[in-house]
Amino acid sequence: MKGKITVLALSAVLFALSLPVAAQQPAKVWRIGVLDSSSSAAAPQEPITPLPLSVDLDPKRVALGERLFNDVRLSRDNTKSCAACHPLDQGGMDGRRSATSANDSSPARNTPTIFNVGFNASFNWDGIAQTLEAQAEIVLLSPRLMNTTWPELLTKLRADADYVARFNNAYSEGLTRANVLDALATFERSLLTPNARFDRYLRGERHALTEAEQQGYGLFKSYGCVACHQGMNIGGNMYQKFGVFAEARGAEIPGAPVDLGRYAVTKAPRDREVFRVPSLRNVAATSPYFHDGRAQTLEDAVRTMVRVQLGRTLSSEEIRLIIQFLHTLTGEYQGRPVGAPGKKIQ
Amino acid sequence: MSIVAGLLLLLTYLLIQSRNPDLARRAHMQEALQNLQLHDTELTRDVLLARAGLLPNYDSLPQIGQQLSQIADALRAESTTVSGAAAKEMGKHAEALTAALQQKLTLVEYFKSDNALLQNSLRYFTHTGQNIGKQFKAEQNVAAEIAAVSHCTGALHTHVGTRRGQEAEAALSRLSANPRKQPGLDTLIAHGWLIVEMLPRVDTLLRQIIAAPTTAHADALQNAVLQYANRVEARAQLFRVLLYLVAVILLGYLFYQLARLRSNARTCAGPIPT
Repeated sequence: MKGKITVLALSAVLFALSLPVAAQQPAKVWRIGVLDSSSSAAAPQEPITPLPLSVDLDPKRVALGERLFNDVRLSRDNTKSCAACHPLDQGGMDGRRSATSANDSSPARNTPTIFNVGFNASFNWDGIAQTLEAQAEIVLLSPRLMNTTWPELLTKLRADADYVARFNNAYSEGLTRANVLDALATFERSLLTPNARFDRYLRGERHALTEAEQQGYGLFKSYGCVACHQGMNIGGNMYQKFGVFAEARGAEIPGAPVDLGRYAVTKAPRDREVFRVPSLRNVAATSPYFHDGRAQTLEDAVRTMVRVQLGRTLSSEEIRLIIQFLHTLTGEYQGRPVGAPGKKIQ
Repeated sequence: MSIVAGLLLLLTYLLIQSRNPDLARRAHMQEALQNLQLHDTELTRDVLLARAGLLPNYDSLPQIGQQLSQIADALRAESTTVSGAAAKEMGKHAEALTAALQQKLTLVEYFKSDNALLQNSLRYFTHTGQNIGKQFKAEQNVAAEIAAVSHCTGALHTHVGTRRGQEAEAALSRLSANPRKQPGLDTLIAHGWLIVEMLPRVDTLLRQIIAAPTTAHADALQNAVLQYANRVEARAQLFRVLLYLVAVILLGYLFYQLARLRSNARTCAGPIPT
């Protein structure tokens, strides 16, 4: 009897082991794509495409990321949060010429807006980070910015029972380095500013722009601004030398080291003074302009661009029309137009 | 009974060995390689469209680049999970593929920057250059030089070559030497020089992008995956044959035991010897 039970038990084991053989399938099926034609024949021919009205993100992770974004404990001395340099009620940037903590020998740079950052192809003025997660980590660990370390930061966050519970709720692995970065990046991807008048115009609302603004858009295209400021983010998807037709130097902060831009990342000679082309979304609410914040007004910025990047001279009327068009790029965040009058901290 | 238990244990061992755990890995890697080649083709297509001025914007290029990088990373990670000598072989090809891809994406990045300037200047010549020529109707020699520059840059655009480049440079030099300075003329000259400088550079980048050895490395990795999968499959097949043989032995043994049991039963059912 005992022997029969042993044989039966072994048979059961044998049967159980045989099941996976019969059901052997790839654990994870990778999508086999077809050639995507969206960028060619089927695509609309406008060089700029509207922002989506929403993005599909996990709300728990977005909420967690938002809390982290506003938490001063992310900095070593508990004084600065991400929102300190990227206030969401002020255009998603601090409005200063250069970042507040620029106290080392590297060139001081203007803080770019955090809005619509999820649509950029690379990050920072020199494209040092290729993902939002990598960018967030650079900021957290940078001695001149948040100046923290992972052991220190994770210890602080783990001491907060609410964080632990939220992370456990949002991620199966709980509170880890990767998940802190993911939560921050997920929140940043949620920072869309849709419904700009220009987007409505692109979606077919022909009266969303005035005649003058449409003329401004026409000039923006015909004078070649659109060669670099194109795509969904009206920039943010390529690098360009600052000073194509004329010398762009001379307006930096006096005594500041020359900013070699992307060269600092690649060390390739052709990348000297090459910078990421910034997005023009909400440009009217994100002064000052350029990597060194040298242009205080849109007019300064347009005149500089026209001279050094396009090699042209535009009339005041043409510049006025282009600026009018640029004002139509201001979208909405949480139902309100981005930026507010008198917001700048100088 | 211990013989049956032993045979069952042996069967279990053989069953485990006859499974092919790498079947799923092979499927993953082959699908990944297929996706990689598809996106690589998309990338090349969009670069060609951009060069022809037919790509409305550059959004698709970084998106495809990101997808390619993700697939290459996944392939590299997958190849490290393979055991034995095959891991080295596949790892080597996966590394080479990743390096070739990164090099190609760097070239695409440079191409975007240069092509944006080139397309802008070409558009300037197409739409504005002719109007500037009309401004110099009274000065036949300037108008003729502007026409020559337009002709040479147009010819350079369609027939890239040293001679065309030299002709364009000569025409631009003659125009630059003209004492008549006008903002429009200066801009035309500046865009002309940019075309002369940028066009060969963009086309060199284009050729380098098309010649990037990503397909060759993807093929080499695919072959390594297939060879590895064939070796694993052959080994699994051997164990399946052994599994069958042991099963037959087990069945034979059970029949033997059954026959013995019947024989013993008959013996027991017979008259009890006195």
